[in-house]
Amino acid sequence: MRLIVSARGVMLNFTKSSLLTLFFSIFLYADENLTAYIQHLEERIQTLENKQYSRGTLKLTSTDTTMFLGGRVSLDTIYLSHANGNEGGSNSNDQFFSANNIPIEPKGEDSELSLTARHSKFWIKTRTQQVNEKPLLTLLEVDFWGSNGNEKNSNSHNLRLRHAYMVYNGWTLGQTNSLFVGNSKPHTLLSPVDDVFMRQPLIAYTKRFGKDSIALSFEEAESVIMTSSGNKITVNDDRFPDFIVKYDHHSEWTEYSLSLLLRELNIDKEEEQELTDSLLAYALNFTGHVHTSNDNTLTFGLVGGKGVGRYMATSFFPSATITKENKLQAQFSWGTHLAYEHWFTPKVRLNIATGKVETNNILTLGTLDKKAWSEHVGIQYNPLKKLLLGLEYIHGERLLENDKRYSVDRLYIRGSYDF
Amino acid sequence: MNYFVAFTSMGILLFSGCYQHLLEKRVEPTTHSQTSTELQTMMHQFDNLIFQHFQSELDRDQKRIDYTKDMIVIVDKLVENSKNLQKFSNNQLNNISQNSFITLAKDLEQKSKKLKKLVINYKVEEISPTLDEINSICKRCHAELH
Repeated sequence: MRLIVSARGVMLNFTKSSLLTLFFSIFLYADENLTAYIQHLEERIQTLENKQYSRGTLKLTSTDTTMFLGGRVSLDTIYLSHANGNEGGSNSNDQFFSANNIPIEPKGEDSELSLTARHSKFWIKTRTQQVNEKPLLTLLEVDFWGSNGNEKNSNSHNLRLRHAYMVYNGWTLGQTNSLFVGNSKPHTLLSPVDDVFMRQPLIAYTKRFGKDSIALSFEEAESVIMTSSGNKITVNDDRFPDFIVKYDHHSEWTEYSLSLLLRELNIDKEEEQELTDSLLAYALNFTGHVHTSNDNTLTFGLVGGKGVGRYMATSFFPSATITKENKLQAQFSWGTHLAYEHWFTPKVRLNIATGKVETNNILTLGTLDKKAWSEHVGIQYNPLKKLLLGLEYIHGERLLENDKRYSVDRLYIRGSYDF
Repeated sequence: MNYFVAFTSMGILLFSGCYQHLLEKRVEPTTHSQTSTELQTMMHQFDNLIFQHFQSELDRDQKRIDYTKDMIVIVDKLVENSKNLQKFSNNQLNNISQNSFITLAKDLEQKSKKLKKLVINYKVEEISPTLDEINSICKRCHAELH
């Protein structure tokens, strides 16, 4: 009986240890399987996440380049108190607002309506990763402000090159906006009259210091010069590129940039002018914005210089003038703006802005432009994340040397979606 | 000399006391609330970069990177605050809530690390989804453990 009991005890012990060994073996086996299974799951999650992030992107694995496609679909509806008088299709002066587009004595052009989808654009960006270095970036962008279609049938406007450039290790090569253009612009649908805008081929180098940067560039030269009879001509006698240096500061609540432009203005018997002369021109552009409270933003700008010319207000004033004594003289012009954006709700905001440009004309002709200004007030609404619906009223005036004043009132309604 | 040592020691003690007081002030929930509002504001500004006038799309991307750097600082503040809040709310949360809070705080820290990697590798397209994830962590935390 004892034997049987002890035998049962041995059997029991044997069974217990066998079961434990079996359990641990199964556990270890299962653990290995579980680890492999988790790894497999993690890989699948990673693949799914990558797929999620690659919406709108195309990865070219052979060159380690990722391509991004995007753009904007936009419609502007404009009501003008006085139009510029060009026929449908070639009436871009009615669609863009600038000091040049404030009409002088527009007879029979009162109360006109204009619609355009030409602000729509399309871009392709690429990013190529480099080993232990910053990526190489490129951008190619076009819009539809190329040669005009007509409004009679199809509005078949052509493409226009906006940007085509690459950025690598601080270097920028290609066509893009000039470094002279400020980094802070009013958030109105259209810029006030002093808008500093220039897009041209350039070579630039940018060095970043934390969130600040300093940049130098050599850019395409071009000169708009006024003849002694008061006509503006574009001369093609440039010998040196325009040189620009820009400092940019960024912090949590403010941002500003200061740009210095140095360039040679040169004329060599251009367009029946019996004159060969050159001079050094300069200009400064200071722009910035401050977040006053929450998202509300105050934007400001001041630009000016002897020879600022084509860089400000779409060549409203010349860079230089040929005097009665037949000499080339740089013309001083300046401009300023102040704008404020106030958010009523996270989707609705009010924008107000005012801007002014003025020049010291060298010639004493009564028909020359002396100054211009504009006031903007508008409301913008974002029903969806990238959808914008905007309404903006603009009043613009220009004053000539003979003290004659001309004005225009415009109402813009814009719907645009960035994809 | 002895007076100088005594006054200096007192000064150091007082300063360290004040500093400690300032530190203690920082861990109050109001500070977390302010930082949270600051982050919401920056996220809103980030979303609205799409409507602003920039030199080009690459310039807009650079601005997104700059804004993200600012947001990383704020998210790190929130992570730091969450550690302090853990101590602050030890007595007020049960074990399940405490664990849930720690998990969410760790998630937030992970997202901050992810944002830093994205900025270094210039992966601008992944910033917005990551900010959405941070936003959802904040919302979950506020909803579950408010």
